[in-house]
Order: sequence, then structure tokens, then C-alpha cells
Amino acid sequence: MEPAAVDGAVGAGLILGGWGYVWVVYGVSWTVLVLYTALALVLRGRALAAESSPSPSAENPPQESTS
Amino acid sequence: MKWELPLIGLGAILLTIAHVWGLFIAPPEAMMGDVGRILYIHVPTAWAALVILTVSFIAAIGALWTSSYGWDAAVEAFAEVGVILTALLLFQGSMWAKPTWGVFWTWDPRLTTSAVLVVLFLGVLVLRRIVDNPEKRLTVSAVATIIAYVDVPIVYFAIKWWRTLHQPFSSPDTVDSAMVSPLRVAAFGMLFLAIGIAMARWRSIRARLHTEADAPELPDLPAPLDLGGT
Amino acid sequence: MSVVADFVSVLKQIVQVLRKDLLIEWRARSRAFALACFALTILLLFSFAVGPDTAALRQHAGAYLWLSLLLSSTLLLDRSFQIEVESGAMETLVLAPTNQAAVYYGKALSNALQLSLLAALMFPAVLALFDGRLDGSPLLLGVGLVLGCAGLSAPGTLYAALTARLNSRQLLLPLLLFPLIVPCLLASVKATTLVMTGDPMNQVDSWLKLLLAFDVVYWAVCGVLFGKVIDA
Repeated sequence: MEPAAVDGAVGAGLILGGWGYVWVVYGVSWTVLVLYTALALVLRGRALAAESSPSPSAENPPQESTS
Repeated sequence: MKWELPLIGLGAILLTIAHVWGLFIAPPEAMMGDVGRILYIHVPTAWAALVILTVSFIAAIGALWTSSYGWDAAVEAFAEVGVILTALLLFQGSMWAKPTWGVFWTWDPRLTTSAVLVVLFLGVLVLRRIVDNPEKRLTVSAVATIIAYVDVPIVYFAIKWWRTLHQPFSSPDTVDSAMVSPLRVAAFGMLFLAIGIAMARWRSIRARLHTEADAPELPDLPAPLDLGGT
Repeated sequence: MSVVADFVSVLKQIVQVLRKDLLIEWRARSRAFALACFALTILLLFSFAVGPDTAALRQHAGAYLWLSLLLSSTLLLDRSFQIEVESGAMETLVLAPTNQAAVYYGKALSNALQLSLLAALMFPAVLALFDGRLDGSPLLLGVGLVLGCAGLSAPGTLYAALTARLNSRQLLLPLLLFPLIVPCLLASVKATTLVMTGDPMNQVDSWLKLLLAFDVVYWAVCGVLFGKVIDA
């Protein structure tokens, strides 16, 4: 898992290392998904609270498990 | 029955399991080494995006057919989630491209189609922001969604004929058996999560549309005075 | 029998709308002249922007031609329904549903014809400015130009109607149209370039088929959706 010369390995048939790219992809993707889910649930909670009779929104977002 | 919370929860759990599996347990890809592990998030994102945008398309037809705001809200909710997923797809795709092909951007059919898709459906969302009248907005965004969606296969095949650098479609047949299972779990996880988020967005958007529709009608202006002249 | 009679009457209406539209454009032909100058200017700009690299200019002449046509089409399409909007005639379209499809096809045909004419006018300029040549048959070139212009006109006319009464019309029309016509643009550029620079592997046919498929799909789909758009 050593970060070998990724760019130099292009065309050589086997790519060595490259974990940097993997972490960036997973990191950004999960962050976007978690944030967007949180936003969606917050907005939903507000909409539901406004729809029903005035009572505090009782639904908490589920605990997100992250890798 | 509020499905969105269980869906989001289940999706998140499945996705986590699949990613831990794919990142740390499954073997590295034959040609691409560890970079191939991007597969477990890139492919599920692509499938989820396609399904979500298809739902938006179906909702657009429903909206035109029934003129109901429930369908209208679904068009917007699923288009929004679809745009976010497709934008994510673009980012993932270029991160994959750099170590495998040496460039961040290239004339790959899937990458370029995703770019066109993002702009197309972003246009639908922009249209919805600009049009104030609810009925016109329903019609206009449904039409734009239908036209945009119909374009997707055409765009894909057109670009494919230009050049094909991308590997063949990652169905379980072309993926090593040790990688199929985490990929499948990830695909379902992402799909459930995406649908759950879209449903949550749907509730908020539908509530907003109903609030708009229920806005108190202004009282009629008093009848114009008739002063007898012509 | 009445189905045939209906079809014929719709065809007649289409021709009526087409003639009326072309007549209006003919009477305002100074505008058409200005549009041709605009298209020519864009070709010039490409020539300046790319620089004196003759090989590059020749190789990409097809691309420059179609980009010029695309940008000019926004001005052309923008006008499509403005007369109706200005004279308040949009509402009368709603009252006559049997005429709606005829109105769409008449206008779309009018736009396609005008664009094709513009393309035909620009081609000699392309040959001159970018040191182009015509390697293949002029017929093939003509077919490519017409199919490409038809591909731009079908969704373009629908979007013109859709955005006709909106304030941000001039921004929305290109924003919606440009990503949509990417396959049409691709196929048109490819077909035109191959006819101009040579087609050793006989690929022009596949590109023309793609263009035809795009045209068929969008002329059908937009015709169906036009009624909904007008009613809004």
C-alpha cells in the first residue's frame, strides 16, 4: 500500500498505490451525501412541523454510521 | 407510511458495510490496483443517478397528465437529487481518470454524458426558480424534464461513437467475483439512500407548493365605476 | 376516410403557418441580413481566435460552422413567437386545439428552412476563411446541413414557445437548448467535417443516421408537448 509513482505507472499495465485518489473520492462523496441527507431531513422536519398542529418536530435524523 | 427514514437508514448501513468490505477486505483490481476500489462508489452512484432521473421523468409525465402538485414536487425532488448524484459522478469519474488515463477530463462517453446531464437537469431546476406561476411552472418544468430525459440515450450513443476509452459496462459479468458482492451491496445501499433522500425532499417541496397554493386570495377589486359616458 | 381528410387539412394548416411565417420574415428581410452578418462575424472571430494555423482551421472548419449556426439560431428562435406575444395572439392558439400541432410544425419548419438557408450562405464563407474544401458529394453535405438545422429547430421552436412570455427568455432559451442538442451538434460537425476533409472509412452514413434519429425523436416529441406548453 505504499504510494508509488502513480502517474509514472500509467501505461505500464499495473497501477501501484493510488490510495490518495481513493480517499479523496470516498471522502468527498460521503461528505456530500451526509451533508445533503442532513439538509433534506432538517427541511423535511420543518415542513412536517408546519403542516401539522404547532408541535415541535419530534423526528430526529437517524444516526449516520460513517466508515 | 413514511418510508424515507427507514430507507435512508438502511441505505446508509448497506453502503457502509459495502465500502468497508470493498476498501479493506476485497482484493485490489487486477489492472488498476487499489485505485479500482473507486468502483464501489462510482458504479453505484451511476446506477442510482439513472434510476432517480428516470423517476423524475416518470413524475414529469404524471404531472402533465394529472396537473397535481404531488407529481410536480416529485419532478423537482428527484431532479435535484439526480443533479447532485450526477455532479458527484463527474467528480468521481475524473478522480478515476487521472490515475488510470493520466488526465482529469477526457472524451469518455460516460463522463461527457454526465456533464451534459448535469447541465440539462440543472436547467430544469433553474427554470423552476424563475417561473412564478405554479401551473405554468408545473407544465414548463415537466416538458423540460421529458425532453431532457429523452436526450440521455441519444447523447450517450453519440459520444460513444466518438471514442471509447472507458472499460466495458461494470455489470457483474465483467467484474471479478470477489468484487461482485460488495458492489451489489453498495448499489442497493446507494439506491435506497438516494430514494430516501429524494422522498424527504419531496415532502418539503410538496409542503412548499401547498403553502403557495393556499396563499389567501386577494379580495376582488371594487367594480369600476360606470359614469354613464361611452 | 375522415382520418385522411383530417390529415390533409392539418397539412394544409402547416403550409399556411409556414407561408405566413416566411412571408413575415421576408418582409423584415433586413433582419435576416443582419442575422447572416452575425453568423459571418462569428466565423471571423473563430478565425482570429484560432490564429493562422491553416491546418487547424481546415480541420475544424465544420465545428466553427456549426457553432456559428448554433449561436445564430438563438437569435432566430427568439423571434419565433414574439409576434404572437406582442399582438396577444398566444391566447388564440389555446382556443383552437386542432391547430396547435399545425402551428408547431409550421413554425418549426420555417425555422429549419431559415437556418438551412443560413447554413448554405455560410458554407462558401467557411471554404474561404478556413481554406476548406469539399471532398465528398455536395448532396451529402446538403443532407447533413438540413438534418442538422432540423435538429436544432425542433426543440428550439418548442423552447421558444415555452420561454416566450418569460422575462429571462434570452438567457433561458440557450441554457435549455444547448446541452440538449449536443448529440445533434456532434453528429452534424462530424458529418460535415467528413464530407469536407474526406471519409476513408465511410462513417458519414452512421452520423447522418444518428442525426435522422435525433430529428425523428424530437420532431415527434416536441409536436406532442407543444399543446401542453401553449395551454400553460
